[in-house]
Amino acid sequence: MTKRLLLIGSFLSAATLCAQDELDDSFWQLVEERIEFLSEEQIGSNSDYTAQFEYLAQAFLSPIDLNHTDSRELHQLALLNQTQIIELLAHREKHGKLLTFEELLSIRSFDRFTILLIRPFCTVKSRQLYPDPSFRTLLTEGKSTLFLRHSRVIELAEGFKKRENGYLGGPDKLYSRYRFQYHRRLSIGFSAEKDPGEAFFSKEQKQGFDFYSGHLFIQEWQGFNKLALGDFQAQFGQGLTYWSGVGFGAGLGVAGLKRVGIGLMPYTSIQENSFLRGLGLERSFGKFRLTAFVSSLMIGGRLIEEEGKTLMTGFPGNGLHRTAAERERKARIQEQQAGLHLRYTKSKTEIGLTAASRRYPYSPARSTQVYQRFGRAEKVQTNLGVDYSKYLSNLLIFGETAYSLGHGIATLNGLLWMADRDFRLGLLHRHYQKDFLPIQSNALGSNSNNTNERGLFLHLETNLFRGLSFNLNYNLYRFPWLRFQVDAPSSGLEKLAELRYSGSKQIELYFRFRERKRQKNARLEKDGVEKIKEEISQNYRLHLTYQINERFSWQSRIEWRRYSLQALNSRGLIFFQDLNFKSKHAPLSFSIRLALFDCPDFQSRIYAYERDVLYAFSIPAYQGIGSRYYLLMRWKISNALDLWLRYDRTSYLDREILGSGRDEILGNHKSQLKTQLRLRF
Amino acid sequence: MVRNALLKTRGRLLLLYLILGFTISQAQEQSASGAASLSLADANLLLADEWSVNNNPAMLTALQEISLAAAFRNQFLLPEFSSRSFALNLPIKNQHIGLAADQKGFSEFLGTRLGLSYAQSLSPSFSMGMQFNYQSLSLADPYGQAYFLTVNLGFFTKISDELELATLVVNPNRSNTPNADQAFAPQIIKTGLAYHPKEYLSIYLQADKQLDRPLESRLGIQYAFQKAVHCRLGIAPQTRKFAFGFDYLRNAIKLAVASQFHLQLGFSPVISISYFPKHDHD
Repeated sequence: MTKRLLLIGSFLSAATLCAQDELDDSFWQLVEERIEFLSEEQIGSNSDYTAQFEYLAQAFLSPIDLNHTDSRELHQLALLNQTQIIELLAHREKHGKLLTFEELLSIRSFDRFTILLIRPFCTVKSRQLYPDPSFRTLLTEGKSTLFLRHSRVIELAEGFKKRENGYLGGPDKLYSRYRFQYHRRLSIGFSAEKDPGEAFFSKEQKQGFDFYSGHLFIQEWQGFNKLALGDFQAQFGQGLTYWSGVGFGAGLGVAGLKRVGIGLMPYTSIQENSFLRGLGLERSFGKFRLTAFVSSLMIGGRLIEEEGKTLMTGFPGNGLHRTAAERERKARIQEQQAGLHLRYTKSKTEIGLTAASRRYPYSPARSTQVYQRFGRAEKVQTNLGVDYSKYLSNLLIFGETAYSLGHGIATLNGLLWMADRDFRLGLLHRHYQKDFLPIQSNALGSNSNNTNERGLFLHLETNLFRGLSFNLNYNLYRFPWLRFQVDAPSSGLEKLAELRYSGSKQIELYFRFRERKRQKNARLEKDGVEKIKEEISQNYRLHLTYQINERFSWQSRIEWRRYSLQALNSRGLIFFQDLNFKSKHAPLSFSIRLALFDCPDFQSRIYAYERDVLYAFSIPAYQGIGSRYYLLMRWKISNALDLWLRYDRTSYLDREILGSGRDEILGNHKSQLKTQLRLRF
Repeated sequence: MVRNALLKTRGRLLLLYLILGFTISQAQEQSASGAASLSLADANLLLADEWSVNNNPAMLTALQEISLAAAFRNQFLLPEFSSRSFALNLPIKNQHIGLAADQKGFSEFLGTRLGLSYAQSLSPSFSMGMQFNYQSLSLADPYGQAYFLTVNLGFFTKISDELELATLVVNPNRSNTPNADQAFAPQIIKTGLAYHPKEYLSIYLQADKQLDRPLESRLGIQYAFQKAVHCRLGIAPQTRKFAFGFDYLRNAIKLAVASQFHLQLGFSPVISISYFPKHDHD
């Protein structure tokens, strides 16, 4: 054991010597795994993950000091579970500041993998690097960053060729962002975006970009713990009562099973309908912390007249305003939200109370679909919730219960057991009634929102020997009411098993099996009542990452997918090879991938993360039979200026026309060129 | 029995050849990979021999000597399927140049390829190689001739003394032939792992994916009796291929003999001879 600790210690010491001035392969590897989980679970490939990973990138470039941090900051990093955070803080309280990073090995819940995982994002300093600065210091010593991004699909889609019924704007996607920051204390930001097809400085869009967002966010100022003005997010408890934005899924281990709302945070993404716009404040009173926010946001939707009443439908929309019809739906509905959260924290106990309310100016149109009988939004809706967590030796119990006024209840309760540093077990039970109406919820679940679901989730993590670890997820659930394309109460089972070898920081190999069984309407050849049948999808993935040396890294992956529903059976396969290169002599780095995919239909499609320009995230679904490659180059022109160039091209064997309608491209290939400039001053 | 039927007419032979998927790249693999590669069921990415120029140009960096090699292969013991190959390797300090040429088929179905390879070690444990190929395929009238210019990229890395990793990307940009709209040279990714548990024993594991074909896995085992004699076995389960062979090095000449066996189509022997002009006889 002593030998083992010494070995790990010496490795960590060596790692400490390597100062991080740029995001490296270990960062991207982590991002890749997390994003792939997100996209596979419920989020489409168009999601914007900026907010989730910007914080991680920030911590990578300016590591969190474990001697001068708090639980909120560590939770936001989303790399440690709550037990580890509690034990770390307790260790600090009992023994004083950590003298070295290796001291973490003496904390029971910290295993070798965890320490290697957090090493690039955390540090140990005896003195606080950024002690309480004055407001003037914040403003004078802060740093500005400006991003300018352009991308364009080279082959012109039909919608851009037509003069009538075509898109209003050109095929260029434009994005610009300015951010002024003083570490994690102050952030002032402004973003603007135009999607392909949207008008830009024309009579249809005189104000230029289609979407603008801005924020001012201050921490620990004038007695306030946080102050958010403009666009922001709010996340509380376990995500059941109120949680705006994306939450990491349970696939990420025990840290994902037990979510921890971090309260207010600035909004830096460009998704147009899922954030708050207004004012948020957070302030501590002894062991209590109070958060309050108000928001008024114009979201997309359609207004219809029915029996003399104006009703809303098709909201909140997808944020695309490329045609006259889509523009008509833009910013039609005022969504007003307000919330209060009171949190009591006493060493190993936390209790939170949340109240959130949302108001629309019109009532939503009633659906005639039976599956939508429950769980539809109301004109005015208020949710109340209570969440708790209690740490008992090596056991953490937690939960949250939310109630929609006049409707149903949703509750989740779970436990995390850290038997020792090599064995962890998590269990979570959830019961979301079919008439529970989430306002903004993102708790663990298998449904698209936290309603109409009962289930049990088991997670197990164990370190075997010599760098080998095994993870297991077992998720059993039932939907008591009907769902989209499921005309009866149904059930499902999801399994994930992963065997991972990470013998050193240089090499990592894992095999992952993932299976999802759900029930879905059967396809009927004749009219009649549809029966539900079992839909099974299985993914088998073999993935290797190898850091050859400081300059080269290597990734190979083979993934198979099998899908079956009744007589429909389909199989998909993807095989890709990546090579990343960072020049020693010139400020250049390159990433290259070639992928061959054989996924004949929609059901056999496979998602895979691709490296992109900084803070852009690409997770295409490989579908069809063909090949795809990309080349990404980064040129650090000077300390202040960086340039990224990315070119990708997908060629198909099984089709001569890509897309449909206005997005139709004549030809069997599609390519995209992306450019990004970053200016720091 | 199947083989007797094949021999009936050249027309049928050609048809079967096409049905079996005789593509340019496969022809290249079959004919130009050498006897040692064939005896490993083409699990050849990490095999450092005179034919690395075709199998994985990055492996050229493992060759220390100038070599000249020639091979003859008789696919399924049918003269019409025979192929002839030639390879030259020139190590110049830490840079390596290779030349390869091969021809397969018969007058009414003739494939020819010329290849130029370059490889370099980029670090003690990592090397990279490129191969530029000119390939042509001549078919009897009325089909005419098609030619392609393709690039192959090979990578090799040594993880430890026992473990090596390599990959080969064939035709990454999907080169189209200028005189046939729909024709293109195949795109392939191969990734392989070599494990050397003992000085005399090597195990090769490889996965190959060609764009329009199922994934193929390969396993090869090499055993060295002495430095001069190697015996090899290989299997490719998806295509039901078994392979075996040996080579013998004496003075500056190496002779290698191998055969693959297909369950339905029978044996495909290959013989290759290599010459090392500056070979150290000790």
